[in-house]
Amino acid sequence: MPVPEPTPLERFLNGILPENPVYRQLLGLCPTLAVTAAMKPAMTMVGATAFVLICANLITSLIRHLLKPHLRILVFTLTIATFVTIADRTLAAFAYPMSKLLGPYVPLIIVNCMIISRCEVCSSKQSPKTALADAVGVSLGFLLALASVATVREILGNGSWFGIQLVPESFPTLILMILPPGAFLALGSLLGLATWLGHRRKARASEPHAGSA
Amino acid sequence: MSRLRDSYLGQGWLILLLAGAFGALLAAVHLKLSPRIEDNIQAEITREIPGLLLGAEVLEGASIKIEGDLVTVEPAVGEPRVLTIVEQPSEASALYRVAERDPGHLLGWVARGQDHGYADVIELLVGLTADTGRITGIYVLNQKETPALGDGIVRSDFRRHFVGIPTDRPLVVGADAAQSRYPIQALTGATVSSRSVCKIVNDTVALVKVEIAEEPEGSNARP
Repeated sequence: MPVPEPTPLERFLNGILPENPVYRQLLGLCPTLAVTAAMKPAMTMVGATAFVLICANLITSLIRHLLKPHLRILVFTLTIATFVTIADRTLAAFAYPMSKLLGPYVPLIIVNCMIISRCEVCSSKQSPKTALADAVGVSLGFLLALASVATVREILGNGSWFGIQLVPESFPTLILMILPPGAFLALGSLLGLATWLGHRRKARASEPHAGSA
Repeated sequence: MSRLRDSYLGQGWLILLLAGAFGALLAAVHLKLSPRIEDNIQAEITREIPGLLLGAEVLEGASIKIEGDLVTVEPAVGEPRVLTIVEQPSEASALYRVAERDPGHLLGWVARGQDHGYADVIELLVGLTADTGRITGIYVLNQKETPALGDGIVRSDFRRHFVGIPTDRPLVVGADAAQSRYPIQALTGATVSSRSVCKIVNDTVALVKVEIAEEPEGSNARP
């Protein structure tokens, strides 16, 4: 018996936590490590990635019946590259300092496996409604991941959050956290925490209920 | 019918159609946004020119006011300096003539040059003294070099190598640098990017020298 395809609500919810692109699938790690020294660039990256993901998912879903299996990756890449270019030019026009700060990481969204995997897994097989729900859910999951890493790094490394000073200037900060090694330390620790919480939840769920025997 | 379906056209018609549609979309986006992007770049150039000619240390803690061709630099210590920046007709993508307004003497030249780097085009501003005899500084306007390797060309410790170097001989980098009086130390793991920067500086300096030499006698002394 064929397994039924997930509903739009299931796709939306799965993208946020159960199939979180960073903490569960380990996808999109390049921007997660590279632009999370502070919240502002991290959230700009999330916005650009969400725009590309939503547009790519919708387009591939609309043309899913025309896709040939051996040419589908080419279509996905063409679609993603187009919307990444639009996002890059829009940032350069309306948020020039942020565009300079993010540098090559916006064009590098093209090779973000998180986006191509959603085209492959969901939008090339399901309706535009489901594809949209999936893209929004995964974008929220990506936001959660980048926001958590950036929060840890900016607070520990700069004593601020979104540029707002949270601790007194005299308070010692860990400069290492806003440098590249800090990205690995923060992501590694948070990944460990997420995995531990996942295992604990699974273990609790599988425990026999007291008194049920 | 099956021959048409199996042909390249039959297999790839969707990709051709999408490529056409996306190409038109990107052209429309470019037409709409490129004037605004160019304005942003122009504002950045005007902001960076004083630092290239007066030295980065003058700009530390300084405020910069831009009004048309006039740029007022108010340093943390010392008198404010008013510069006039005039774009000259040039074969380089842009050449700026920079003079102090009040004493009225020519401070130097800043030219915009570009060439291919390792990943994409690198675009630079190159500052030169009034007689074009020395480089006063370089600034990286645009680059998409490899993160953590080639993108080190934007760092001040790399750009500092170029300050004060005479322009009588082309710059050389890396292994060839032993033959030069003023070697440019390549960035570790990014020799191609470092060489590209030197090539852009050499080409831009050569072009500016020719263009300024062709100017009428005494015009460089104009305020």
